[in-house]
Amino acid sequence: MPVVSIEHLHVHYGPIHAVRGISLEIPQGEVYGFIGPNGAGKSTTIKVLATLLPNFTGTARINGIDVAANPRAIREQIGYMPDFFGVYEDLNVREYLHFFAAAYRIPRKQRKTVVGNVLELTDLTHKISDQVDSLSRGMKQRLALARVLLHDPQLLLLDEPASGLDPRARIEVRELLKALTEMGKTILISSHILHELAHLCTRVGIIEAGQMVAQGSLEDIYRQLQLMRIVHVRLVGADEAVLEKIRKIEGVENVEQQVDRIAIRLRDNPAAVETLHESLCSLGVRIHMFQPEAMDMETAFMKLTEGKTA
Amino acid sequence: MNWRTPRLGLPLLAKELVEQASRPRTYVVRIVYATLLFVIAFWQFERILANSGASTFSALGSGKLMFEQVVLLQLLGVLLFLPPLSCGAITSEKERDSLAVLLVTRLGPFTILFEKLLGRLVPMLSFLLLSMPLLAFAYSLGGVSIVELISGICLLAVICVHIGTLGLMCSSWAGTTVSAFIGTYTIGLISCPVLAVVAMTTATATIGKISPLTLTTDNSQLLAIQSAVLLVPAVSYFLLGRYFLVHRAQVARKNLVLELFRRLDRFFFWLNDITTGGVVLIRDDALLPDFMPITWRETQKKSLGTTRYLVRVLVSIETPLFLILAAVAGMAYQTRLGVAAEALYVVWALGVLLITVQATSLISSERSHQTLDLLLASTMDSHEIVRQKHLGIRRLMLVLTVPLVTIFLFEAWFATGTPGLEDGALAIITVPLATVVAVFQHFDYFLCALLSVLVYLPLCSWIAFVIGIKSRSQMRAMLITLMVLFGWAFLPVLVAGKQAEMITLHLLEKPLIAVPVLLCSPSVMIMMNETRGLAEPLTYGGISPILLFSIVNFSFYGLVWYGLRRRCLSQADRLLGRLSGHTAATAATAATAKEPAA
Repeated sequence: MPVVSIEHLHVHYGPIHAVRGISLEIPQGEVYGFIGPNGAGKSTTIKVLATLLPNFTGTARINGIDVAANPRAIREQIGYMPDFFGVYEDLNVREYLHFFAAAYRIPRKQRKTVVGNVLELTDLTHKISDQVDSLSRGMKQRLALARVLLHDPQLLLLDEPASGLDPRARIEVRELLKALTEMGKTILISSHILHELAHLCTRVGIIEAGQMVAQGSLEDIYRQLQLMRIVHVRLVGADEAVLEKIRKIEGVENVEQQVDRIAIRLRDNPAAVETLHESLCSLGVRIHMFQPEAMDMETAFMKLTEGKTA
Repeated sequence: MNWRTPRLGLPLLAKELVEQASRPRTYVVRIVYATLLFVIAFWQFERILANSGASTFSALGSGKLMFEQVVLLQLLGVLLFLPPLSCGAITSEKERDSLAVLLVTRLGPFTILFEKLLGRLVPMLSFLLLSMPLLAFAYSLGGVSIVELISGICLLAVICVHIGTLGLMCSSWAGTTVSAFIGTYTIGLISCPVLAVVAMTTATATIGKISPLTLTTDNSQLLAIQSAVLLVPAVSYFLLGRYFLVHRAQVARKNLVLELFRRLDRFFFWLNDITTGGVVLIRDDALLPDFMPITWRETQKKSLGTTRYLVRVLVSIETPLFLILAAVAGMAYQTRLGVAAEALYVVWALGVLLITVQATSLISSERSHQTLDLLLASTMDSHEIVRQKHLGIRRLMLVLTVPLVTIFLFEAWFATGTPGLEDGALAIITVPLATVVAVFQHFDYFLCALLSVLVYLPLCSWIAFVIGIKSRSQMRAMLITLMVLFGWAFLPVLVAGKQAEMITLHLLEKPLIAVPVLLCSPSVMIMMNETRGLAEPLTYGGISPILLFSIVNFSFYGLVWYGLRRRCLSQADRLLGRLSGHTAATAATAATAKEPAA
């Protein structure tokens, strides 16, 4: 049974149709990355799962429990971290965590141990007496992660956890999330920082204007987008006859002569690049450059989205 | 030749007016204002006409009183509406980070300030225009000269400019609208007596002994003096506003109340150190939350919730109150009771203000600190969040009960002739004993007074709390609550003012009219109790009407309080914007039921 299951989710904010029939499933222990431009509906979807949106249609289930029917049971199983850090300027780190530990009804005798454990995990033990307001942004994010771990939820809903962080803080948060994954937590994470997700996520969903544009593992998405098919080559003394020979190689879709290189588009086949290299060698041409087009999340994102909002 | 015609453009003013015109609340406020103005004015007119005699012609010449009442009502409107309107003029730009964008345009600081001022004055002047038919009616009845008519209108307009520029200056200076709001009222209250003295001195020196503290005059010289006294500071406020606009454009936003309490804290610690050597009787608990974390934070961590601050609030109110009441104890019967009644109204106003600030901030501060979602995503039930939040102001209500009960005890004692006062040093014992006896002698009064505190304070707190939940910002919640409470609870007392005794007697003689009047506003009961509660008891058929009315009034408002609280707790999920299992399940069932048909 998947930990998260969403079917045909629709959310309206007045006349705005923010989420339009999103469906997804997240199995146990998976890190699912939610990618999309601003206003795409990522935070709204996460809010539905966090029981913070009363009006939606469709089905959202966590561990088989319907979010709409039993929000109380859902709240026991999730740890929600919004895209902003809520600050109680009058509390220190210890008081802040004890406040939420009491809010989550953690037995009084266990609180000290639980707070100590989450502080150790997030490497904030030395900041226990500092005012929350005085922490750096990176530390605040780690404290927010400590807060969501207090009641040991199975599912973490993290909305833009790395937003606005400097590179060091971003790496720290990423390492922390890796540690949480190793602990078996299921994580739904939204982010704009695409290569962060590429390092972390087992599957991603790309969402635009409230609709799921693509989802699956990164390899699946690259394949869907045919990002592996273009190979840029530079050959010594390549003339029209050579180009014609290349066009006849099995798996080549077309060959385009560019100013300083040849762009070879291949048909869908994971081993096509290696085959092409061997075929070029067998043609006897001297290869000056052989460069398959880079696959990255940014290219995928740009290809899949058009900058539309709901 | 390409001639370019210079065009007068007021882009900022146009933007402000378009914004105001597109908000539904602009029209709601105008309708409410006009309704209140006309209802109260017609009520006043009806009373004046009723008192003028049986013949219709005898009402001729009574227009002056009507005219003065309308101008007074408009002044109250200006004092209530204009400061909140004007103090957000610049701070709202600062809060939206759009002031810097405005300052780098070709609009100069003077133009920005001038257009902002006009943007606030135009809606206020439109409120003043509403009273034109009423003024015309008063004028047609006679007794008002044309100079008086013009003076009343001019003076209201000048007061608008004065308050508008003051609010604008505070808005340029402050980082937040709340700070500007507090600053506007503080400077306004401080400058009021100064301006009065200046006006009196100038009037005495130039036109002889005519009191300048009037809203209408048939003396054009006096009008000129009044206008000058108000306009000269207005110009200064405007110039200072221009200075602050540039120099404090990037001012850091501070929580003024928190800052004030921190300063007070330092002062009291310093005072404690030099007087007692640092003895601490009540130590704030450094305990961690148990099972009511929200109440714990409200009472242990927030400025107005901790014991230390509440004791200070109590001392700050109780000490001067006790000294004033003790000082007037030796005065004439009417004087001492009059002072006590005035003190009661002031303490009520202060109490309601404190409760409003505290209750409206309970949820709106969670919103502004972006912590509400964190609470809502926790496993706490919504009604538990609401209940724990509201418990945070219970201690403040208890603290405010103390000065109110002090006044009731003093009044009961005053009414029995201040027995025990002549006993010298023994008065420390005899006066409290005599007060206890006095309470039993005026039991109806004391019971009614006590019930007013026990019912109205929680009622006010729940009204403010509900408005706080529904409003997007604390400032808006505070203003709406104060307007509601002012219009509903305080306006009847202010309007009845001098005729309280007459109205009360009139009502006591006609219970059938009195009961609906009592139910229309909580303050009517307080006013009635203060004016007739301590006098010779009237009885009808062996029943004290005051006691009877108390039962009716407090039963009604007690039920309102209970209903509001119950509704708030039962609808907590919806009010807080959280998914409710019950409603969602119902919706899901309804959707499932529809499926086969589909």
